[in-house]
Amino acid sequence: MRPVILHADDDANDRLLVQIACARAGLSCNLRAVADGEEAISYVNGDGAYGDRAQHPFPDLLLLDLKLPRKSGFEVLEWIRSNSEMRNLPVIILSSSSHEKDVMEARELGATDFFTKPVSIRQLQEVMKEICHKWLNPGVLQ
Amino acid sequence: MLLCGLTGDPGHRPFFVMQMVRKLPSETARYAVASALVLVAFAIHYSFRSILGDHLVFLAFLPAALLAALFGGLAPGLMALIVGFVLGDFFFLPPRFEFVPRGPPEFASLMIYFVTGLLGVAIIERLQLVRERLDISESHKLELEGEVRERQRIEDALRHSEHGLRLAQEELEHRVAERTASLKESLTALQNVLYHVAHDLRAPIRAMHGLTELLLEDHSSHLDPMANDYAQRIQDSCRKMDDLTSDLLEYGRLGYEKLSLTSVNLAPVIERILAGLAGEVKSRSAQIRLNKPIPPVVCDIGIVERVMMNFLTNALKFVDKGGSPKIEIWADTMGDNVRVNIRDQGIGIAPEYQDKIFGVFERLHDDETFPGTGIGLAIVKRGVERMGGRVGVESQVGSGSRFWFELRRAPSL
Repeated sequence: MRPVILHADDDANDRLLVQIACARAGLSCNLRAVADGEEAISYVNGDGAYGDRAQHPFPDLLLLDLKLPRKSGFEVLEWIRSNSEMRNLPVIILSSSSHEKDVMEARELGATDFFTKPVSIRQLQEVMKEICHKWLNPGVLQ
Repeated sequence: MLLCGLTGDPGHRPFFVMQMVRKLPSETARYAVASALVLVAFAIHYSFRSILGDHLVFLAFLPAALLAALFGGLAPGLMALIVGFVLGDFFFLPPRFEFVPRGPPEFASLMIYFVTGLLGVAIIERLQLVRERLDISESHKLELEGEVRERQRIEDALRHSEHGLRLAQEELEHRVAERTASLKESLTALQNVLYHVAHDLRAPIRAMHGLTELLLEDHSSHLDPMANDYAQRIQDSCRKMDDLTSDLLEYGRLGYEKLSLTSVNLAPVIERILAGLAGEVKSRSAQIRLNKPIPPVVCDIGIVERVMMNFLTNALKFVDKGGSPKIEIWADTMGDNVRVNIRDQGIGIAPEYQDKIFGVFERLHDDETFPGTGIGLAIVKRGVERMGGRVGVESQVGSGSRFWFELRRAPSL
């Protein structure tokens, strides 16, 4: 079973770049994407259509942008950390911002790790490799 | 009664007659009035002698002496009394035109006149003295009252101006608070803009850069050489735009970000930065020497890292083509400050540009020779100045530059 990564990002290009970076880095993971904070919560909570876990498997890792429509990354993070069933879900922040205030706030809310979106796809590949090796069971990676 | 006289209205005062009758001011006038009174008394008695007879000789002289004492004081009063005595005795008291009285009744009349007059003059003089004293205390009282009133007035004026001052101060405080609030609001708005620039503006740059990178790496075989060149230029421009955005953001953030000033041992910080630059140092075959000790300074460690990083990347970058950078870092203690020097043997800076280079977007070279955003040294200056320090440069074209920054020396760690 390939590990499932849920990527929450409102920018379609960023979603595409993460997907390509994973492929180019040779990371064999099942990448699922949502475009806003509420949808991210619906997905992990299994609301509506997401209740079908065969179609929408529960993620092994959440890759979360901070600035999201409807519900921000901070709110999603807070919701997940207040939910006892999801306490162990690794939540990795991948944001444009490297602002110390954002990093601190994310850490306080229980983010597992924090990365800044790099401008180059090669660097993004490195970031994705690091995330997967650090936070996913290495056995499930090819 | 006396107290009442001091404080009550004039109608109820004792000696109110004395209040109205004042001693004449000049000595001559006093004696003149006394003499005139005696003469008037003489004339009156002379005129009414037939009615008054020989026994009431002094009836006119006694009031004359008393009035003389009243208007002229003790000496003119006594003078009037004695002159009246002599005149009455000589001209009117039997036997007339002789000084020795006729018998015991005349002698008694003479004595009664003299003793009564003396007593009267003495009493009047005494009363005058009392009144004078009263006058003095009255004038003192008036003076004091005046002073009290004046003080009261000054106090009132003071209170009034104090009140005015307080009002003005309140108004000022209010306006300062208003202005501060509006400044805070604009600052928050600005921070908000910066935050959105960081997030939103960089997303399309990232996309352009990433996708062009993909074009060049995965699809270049489908592109002719010109298309490849264009794609490369797009990618370079994206990289530059990203650098500019992040440098501007950093420059902006340095203006308002809260600093955390602590005592920092700089040597390990510099060593860490040098380790981070190891790749570049190697590729440029640079030699960097760090001369210890570097005394501890009071600074924000994040900012000081950026400052050192900027100075060192500049020192590595600005060398003649093909030359290898030689950099020396050392510290001097200057009074309460520590000056950290970074000397290179690079291309140097002409004197007329040495002040300009610390401004935003000041570049001395084209982007192809020495790529950069032109914000690095502005970030350095702003950062060091926010920490209460100074920056500067000494340079000669062709022989290199010595950049320095000064920060407050920290007590030994």
